[in-house]
Amino acid sequence: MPADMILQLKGLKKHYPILGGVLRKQINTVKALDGIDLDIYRGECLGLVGESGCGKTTTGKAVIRLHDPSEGSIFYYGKEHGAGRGVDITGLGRRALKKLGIRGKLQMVFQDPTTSLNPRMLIKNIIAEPIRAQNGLGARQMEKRVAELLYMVGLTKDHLLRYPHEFSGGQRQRIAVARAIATDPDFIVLDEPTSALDVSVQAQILNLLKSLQDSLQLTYLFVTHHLLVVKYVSNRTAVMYLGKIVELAPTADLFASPFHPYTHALLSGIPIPDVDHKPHRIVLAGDVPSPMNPPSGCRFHTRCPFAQEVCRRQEPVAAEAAPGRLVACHRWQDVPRLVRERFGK
Amino acid sequence: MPKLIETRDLVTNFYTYEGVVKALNKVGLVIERGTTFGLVGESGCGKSVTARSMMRVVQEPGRIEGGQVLFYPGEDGQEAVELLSQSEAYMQSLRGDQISMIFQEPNAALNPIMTIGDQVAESFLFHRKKEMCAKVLEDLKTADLPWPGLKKLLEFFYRRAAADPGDRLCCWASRTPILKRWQQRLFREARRRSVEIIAALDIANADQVVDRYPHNLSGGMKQRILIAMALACEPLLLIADEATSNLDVTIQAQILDLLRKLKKKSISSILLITHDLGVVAETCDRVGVMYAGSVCEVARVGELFRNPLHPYTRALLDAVPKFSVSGQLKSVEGNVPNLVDPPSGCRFHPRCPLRRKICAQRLPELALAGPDHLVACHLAGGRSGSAQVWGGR
Repeated sequence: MPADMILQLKGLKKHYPILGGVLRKQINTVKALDGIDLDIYRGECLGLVGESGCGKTTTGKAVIRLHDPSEGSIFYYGKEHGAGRGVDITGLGRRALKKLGIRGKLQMVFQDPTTSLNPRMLIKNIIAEPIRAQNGLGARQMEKRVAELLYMVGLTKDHLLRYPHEFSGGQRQRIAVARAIATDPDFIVLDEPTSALDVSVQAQILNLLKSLQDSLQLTYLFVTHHLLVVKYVSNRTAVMYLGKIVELAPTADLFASPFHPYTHALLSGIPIPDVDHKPHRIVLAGDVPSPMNPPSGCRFHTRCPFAQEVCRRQEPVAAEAAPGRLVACHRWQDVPRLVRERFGK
Repeated sequence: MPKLIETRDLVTNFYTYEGVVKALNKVGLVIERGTTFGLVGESGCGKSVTARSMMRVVQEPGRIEGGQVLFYPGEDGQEAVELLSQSEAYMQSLRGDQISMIFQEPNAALNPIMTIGDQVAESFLFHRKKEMCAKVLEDLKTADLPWPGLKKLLEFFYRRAAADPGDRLCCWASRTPILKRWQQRLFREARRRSVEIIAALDIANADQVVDRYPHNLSGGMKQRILIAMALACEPLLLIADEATSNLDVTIQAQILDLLRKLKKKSISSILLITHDLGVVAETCDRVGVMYAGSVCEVARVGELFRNPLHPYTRALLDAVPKFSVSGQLKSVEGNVPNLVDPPSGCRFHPRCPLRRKICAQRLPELALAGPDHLVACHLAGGRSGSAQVWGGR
């Protein structure tokens, strides 16, 4: 086990019950996460991409224990616990998490800054709240700390006594970032931090996140559906489909030579802002199946252009295609050739 | 290419409590027949308001306060109709028939308590009633009916409706119990046409889909239904307002593919409103870039991406993460200005890296800076040799 691991997910599952009937009995489950294995290393930015409803956000929230997974375990390897000694945080309660000092080390930035900031709180109190919850500071120190945090995200002291509605979308997201880094975290889940923002502001926020990562030695889990953003920010990328990770690879390798047919389709589907680019698009038929009753075997087989009999019957296990690259597909060896033949890429 | 629709000095204001939001500031655009025109810009820059002003469906408290919208329905693009001075009845007959629109959010644009078939059929019943009544009349000749009196009665109604869709007697009969059943054949015809148009958009089991409700369908399907509704009457201009922004990449690819196919089949022009430069690069012929309520650059798509002249266009192109390039993203400093109190002179000048004194004083006009390339910038005017200003690209 590498010593620099920060979080490890083992067979993580999250099932949401669907209640129905007069007696509100459970009639079905939405399998939002169905066995996720993921290692996150210290100092990296791991991108998590997929279509809506594939369980990206659920993973992000489960990792920092915003909700309880149904099965599986999460290990946290904190610096203060000694190298290589993990804490299983799956079953820990809120008190225990706080007592071990883990709560403050795992933070999150949410998608829409308009809804994630309380409209009736001053910026000063919004940013001070997590510090207050963890370790109280004196009023003067607190003010100094908050001003320092604001400065780190590119705002000034003048913004302290304002309300969220007085800021633009980009500035609000900066405030949300300041709140997340207030407790000196090790690890931040960024849940679509730029998808509510405009292109020109998006670039500002991405640059800010990058510089903060360098200066504070943060680890990011970057959840997004925007593949080009992932390419820009992350070191490794995991592609999810219907509650499973189908491919995990260093970002550069993933974009250069994907193995899984779904990754191929995703990458070819990005509209490229370049007129000289001629797209060889793999248009997948149909929609994502319902996570209530996912297809048998490989979950992608209903839309996969190269599906065979074995894909319908047997679920593929993640195979190590190259050092550090995992792919869950029966035919991954053939896929690049098949794509070339069929779609002329 | 003959022109299809043109706006001249369009001014639209919104009267809010905070003051007058000057959403459009003399917007001038020309959309040609058979082309795809892309309108890009950040949120709040007036893209959607431009499209809505063209169709005269600006929401309260907005008002169109000046300018012209010229529509050229003829093949040769000669006779113009000034849409802003037309009656509301004329506009109603135009919307959905000659100009139609796909709205941004499919969930909000579809009525949740009507079946898909009814919603698609609505546009046929509104715009094609005359034609459909004539068709039903034709079919009635060979139809087998239980008794001859019924046939005579139906023929009577359909003949009147085919002559004049707004016939008072027919309208009265449509509201009267039992008698209103004369329309059944008309509805059946409308439904048949709906199934046809839905099936034409690559939707499997179209005859079952028409009986479903919007909540039964996925996001991509809903977007297709909206496209079907917009295309029902074969419009001359299709306005797609962020038609793919809320969809996933694979579904977006499907919809863009569909739009491209439709474009090839029929010559209808598309006005594509988007904030995604990638979508523009792939689908459009000409592009207009908007910033804070005014158009800052219009050019052919290749020209715009290879040789952007306006500093905002350049900044926008640099800020987009790209497939082949890595490294630091260049961001545009500052924020989009508040349109209640827009900056003086050029509206981009507070954020512009190359601003001069004149930029804060005078609003630049759209001027020809190259073949088929309009720019509204003091520094990139035709005479000054813009390539030198930018040091080439």
